[in-house]
Amino acid sequence: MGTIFVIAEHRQGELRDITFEMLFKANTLCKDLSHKLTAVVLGGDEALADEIKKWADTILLFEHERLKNFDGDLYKEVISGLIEEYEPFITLMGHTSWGMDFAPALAIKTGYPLATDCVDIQVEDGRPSVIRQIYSGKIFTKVSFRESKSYLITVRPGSFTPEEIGEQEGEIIKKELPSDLPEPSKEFIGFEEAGAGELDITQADLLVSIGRGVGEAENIEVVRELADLMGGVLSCSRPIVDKNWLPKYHQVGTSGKSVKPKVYLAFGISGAFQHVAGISGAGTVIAVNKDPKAPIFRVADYGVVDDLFNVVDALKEKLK
Amino acid sequence: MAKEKLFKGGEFLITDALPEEIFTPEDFTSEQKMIAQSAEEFGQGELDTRWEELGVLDPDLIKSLLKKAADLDFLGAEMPEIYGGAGLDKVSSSLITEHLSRGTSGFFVSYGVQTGIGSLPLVLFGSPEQKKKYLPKLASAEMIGAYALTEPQHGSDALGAETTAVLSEDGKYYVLNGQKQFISNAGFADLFITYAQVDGTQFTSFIVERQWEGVSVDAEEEKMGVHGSSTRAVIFKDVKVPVENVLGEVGRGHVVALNTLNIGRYKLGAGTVGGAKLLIAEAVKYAKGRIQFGKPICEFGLIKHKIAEMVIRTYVNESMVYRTARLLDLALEGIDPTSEEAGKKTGEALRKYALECSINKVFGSEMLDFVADECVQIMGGYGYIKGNPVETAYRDSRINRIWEGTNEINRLLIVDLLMRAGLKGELPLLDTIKKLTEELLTFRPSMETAEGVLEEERKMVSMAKKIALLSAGASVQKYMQKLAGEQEIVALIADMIIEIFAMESALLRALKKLQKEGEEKARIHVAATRAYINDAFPKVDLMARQVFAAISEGEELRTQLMGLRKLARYTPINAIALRREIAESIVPVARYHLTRI
Amino acid sequence: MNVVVCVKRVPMTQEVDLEIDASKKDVSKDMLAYVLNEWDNYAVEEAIQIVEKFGGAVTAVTVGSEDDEEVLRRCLAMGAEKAIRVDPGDLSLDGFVISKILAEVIKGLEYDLVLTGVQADDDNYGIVGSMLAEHLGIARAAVVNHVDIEGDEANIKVELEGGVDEVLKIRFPALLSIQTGINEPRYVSIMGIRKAAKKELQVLPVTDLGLSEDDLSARTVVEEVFLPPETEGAEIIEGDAATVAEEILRIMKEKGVSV
Repeated sequence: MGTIFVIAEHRQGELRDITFEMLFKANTLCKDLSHKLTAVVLGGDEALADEIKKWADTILLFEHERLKNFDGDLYKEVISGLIEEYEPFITLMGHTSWGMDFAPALAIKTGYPLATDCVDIQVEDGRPSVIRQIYSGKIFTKVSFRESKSYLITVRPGSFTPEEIGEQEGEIIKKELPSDLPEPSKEFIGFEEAGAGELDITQADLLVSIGRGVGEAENIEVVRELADLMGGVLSCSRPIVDKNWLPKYHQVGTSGKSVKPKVYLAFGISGAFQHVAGISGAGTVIAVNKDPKAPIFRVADYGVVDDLFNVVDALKEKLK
Repeated sequence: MAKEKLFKGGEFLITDALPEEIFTPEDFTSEQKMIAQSAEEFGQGELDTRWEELGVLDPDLIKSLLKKAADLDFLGAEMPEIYGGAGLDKVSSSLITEHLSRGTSGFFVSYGVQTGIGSLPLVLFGSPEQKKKYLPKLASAEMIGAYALTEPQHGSDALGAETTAVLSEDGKYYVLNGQKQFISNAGFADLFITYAQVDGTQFTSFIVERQWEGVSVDAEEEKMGVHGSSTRAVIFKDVKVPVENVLGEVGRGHVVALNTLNIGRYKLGAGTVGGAKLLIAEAVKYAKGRIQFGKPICEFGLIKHKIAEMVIRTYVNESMVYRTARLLDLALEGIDPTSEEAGKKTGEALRKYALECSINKVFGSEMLDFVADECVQIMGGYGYIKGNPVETAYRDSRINRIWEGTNEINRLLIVDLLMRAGLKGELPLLDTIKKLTEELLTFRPSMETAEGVLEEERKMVSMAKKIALLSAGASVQKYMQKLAGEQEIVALIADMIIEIFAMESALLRALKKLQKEGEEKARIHVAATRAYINDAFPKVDLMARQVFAAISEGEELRTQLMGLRKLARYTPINAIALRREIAESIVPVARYHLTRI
Repeated sequence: MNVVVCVKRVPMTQEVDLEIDASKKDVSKDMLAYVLNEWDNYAVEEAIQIVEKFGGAVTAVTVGSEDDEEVLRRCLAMGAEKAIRVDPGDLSLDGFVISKILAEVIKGLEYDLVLTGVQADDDNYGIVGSMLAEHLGIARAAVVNHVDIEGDEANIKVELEGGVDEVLKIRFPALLSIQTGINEPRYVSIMGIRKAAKKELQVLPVTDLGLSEDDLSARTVVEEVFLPPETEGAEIIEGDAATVAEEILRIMKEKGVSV
């Protein structure tokens, strides 16, 4: 019976969603393959490990001052040691900024093959293969590995939706850091809210955007509250700027900014081509408009034919 | 490029060039491609993002963008390095023009004037002192240039200008009085290249600074298009112009004026290629997104036809422009840009290709009008609404048939230049026509279709030349010196010549690509060439008939038409299938795809 | 301060409907235009700004065919001093092999800093930078959106998910993978292009590097590529406002935006 590793990702005392997404997928794989699921928690404490208990058979917990903040070198050292010790069939890590830091280095250190940014994982005849998206998601690809004892995979956040699973009671095993740790090559200074004070809509992952359909200047606040609740950035189409309802730097479109958010929520935007040109780089466009013939629906991935405020209010309700 | 050949101006009409003898966009060097990419990036980053702002006149914005362009050496591209320029070849500078001509009239008009008619007269005819004084400032956008030739009563008849220049008693300056009309950049220009009659008859070019006393401008014109650009009348009232600011020689202003326009004309063709490529991308993107009857309209035959035709004509225009640009480069080879004679020699070399320059101007301007029109048509009602770049492009494009010499003037000029070259013995025109007439008596057209890709088209282009030469020869014979007065006939001959240069440039380019890269990679080049020639060849035949019907009658006409029939024999091809193939190849990539930079 | 920057030439696919080629292992690239990978463009700009400020030279390196020299010339035109292209012949390349080749070349250079883009716009692996750092045995940071150099170390910011930056101090030599938006990449001037023509562009066959067969064998293999399931226009979400809201939140999560 083999093992599947999931390397938990946490920040400031909280597990990141990616951790549960990986645990969920690993669970499915373990069931199919009759493997055991081992979660690895570097840093954090027992409370954090407890949150994972029901998802995993075993939790390897390392508590140490040096693991309080993410340290890619330590992750690499410690995990490579664990892989040697436990010989997991697959090790799952998040394809996040931190995952991108330590996973490839880990692959070199261990000599095991790595596929990154995977949206699905299959195992056929004892060999894993992964599904990835290339060319900004325009093309899917199936990638296999050179034969190996152990395989490394990083998972794109949001690829799996963790559903409730049977109550497990994973065993927490406390582990000690090896004594011969390398000197840190980086010094952690702190976290910072990005771009506070100055707004750059081109860098946002989520844009909550408004157009003429918003009707009056006062209504903008209603949508701004939603954007704040969602952790998104407020943007708009040209008519809003023309009316001086929002400063120019909010504007999306040919004469504003071209944006590339993962999700673009378009409220009351008709979809004039000047605007649409600015969102061609958006991952997913969800449009809400009263007019079923609004051109925005031609380019949106999802459409809602309704008054925008109905939807805005319902979203706020869900989020509160 | 060992076999590249320096053809004489107009020689294409009497010689069948080989593909390896001419330059095509597939021959761009890596440096030329980088220059094109750089201009394209600047266009996308600085111009496309300001489409709306640049559609309304904003001199500060224009000047700041010209400054940015200057920092990348775009403004001094064609100026000698010793005067702060980059001393680029014509192919490279045409690539810059192409990629900066992109639907933002505020920029492309001011840029076009600054680098073309607003500075080239100085580059070509300025004294070393004049160049040293003004060129670095024009290259760096410290000064904005303008070209003031047209007057209220003298447009096409520009050399008849009424502005006067009177030498002061001390001989130190000329006093200018008069008015110039429709001057681009006038609102914010610092420097005018202008013209006036010295002693009433000696047409002379002057360099005038805006800051001098007596120089003023009238209100902005409200124009049909190019709304982002400045167009005003310029008024000279007792302006004292130092004698050092006479450009060229007194009484030789026509040399300055005409040579300047030459360059402007072929450059205009480079600009229309750029404009058309952007419109094609707009049209295809729209046609992919517009769903009617349950499918995107790009899947309908008539839309495919339109898209394909836009691509074909752009391809032909592009083939002509870069063939011409390289010809100019070859003609200019060996001229030391630092020598005192450089300007004059350059002017002389360029003058020889005035015919090709005019062809590019006429073809390019009419091509862009066609492309803009079809782009509006593909978008239907949306294309007719203000705020759609295509609606703007449709109006902006119209000026190209008017400025830099109307297309009518250029058509007359094409034939005039050809006749002069013949008379001067620069081209063996008369001999060729005579030989042709004799040949025709015993000529038996082959009934077989030529074997091999594009072989039939090669034959057709060759025949088209014979047809044009015979019609031209017969017209000259009939009217002798008075041919120029028969404008309708002259224009028909000009159109045949234009079509021949167009067909042949496309043909040679496709053949060259075919030889170098094989049938699969040259597939769309070949299809575009075949579709174009299939349409253009019968047009040439029809124009020839119209000429003959106008100049002959009875037995003579019958004989001429019989001869024509022998030359004009051809088998139509399935151009519908070719156009579908072209359209289907461009739809996935959604941009003009026949040239890679 | 000597900086090595690793770059890649990629096809431009915005607004393009990609088609699968006959091998079913790649897209058809015949009609595509190519550019310097967007992330790399920022990395090159960052490298040049660093040497403009602190002196030293930028060396640009790529692994690719002769066509790929185009992006190296661009780097030279932007201000790099030297460029190296390793010709991989017909090796099948993955992130591992590329990082191995780059490491072998960079080992022989003098450098304080190695920059890469976060990822390439074509295959989106985001793998080479960190692997390369490990081969070289130097410090590394991924997804860097700010660099502030002081002596032989730098204060950097790593862009984390959810609009948070992690502020770190890193000691040189180090490798940073650069995120877009860190600077404003310059346009290439004609004089820059002119100068580039005179700069050194070294071509190394991969066989000259003395790498073993194992070093040069890919760890991952593309089995097939395929088009995502087709969609026609917007998929209309039906139902009352509450249902719609729930569905929108689900979609957002699926697309990687957690709220």
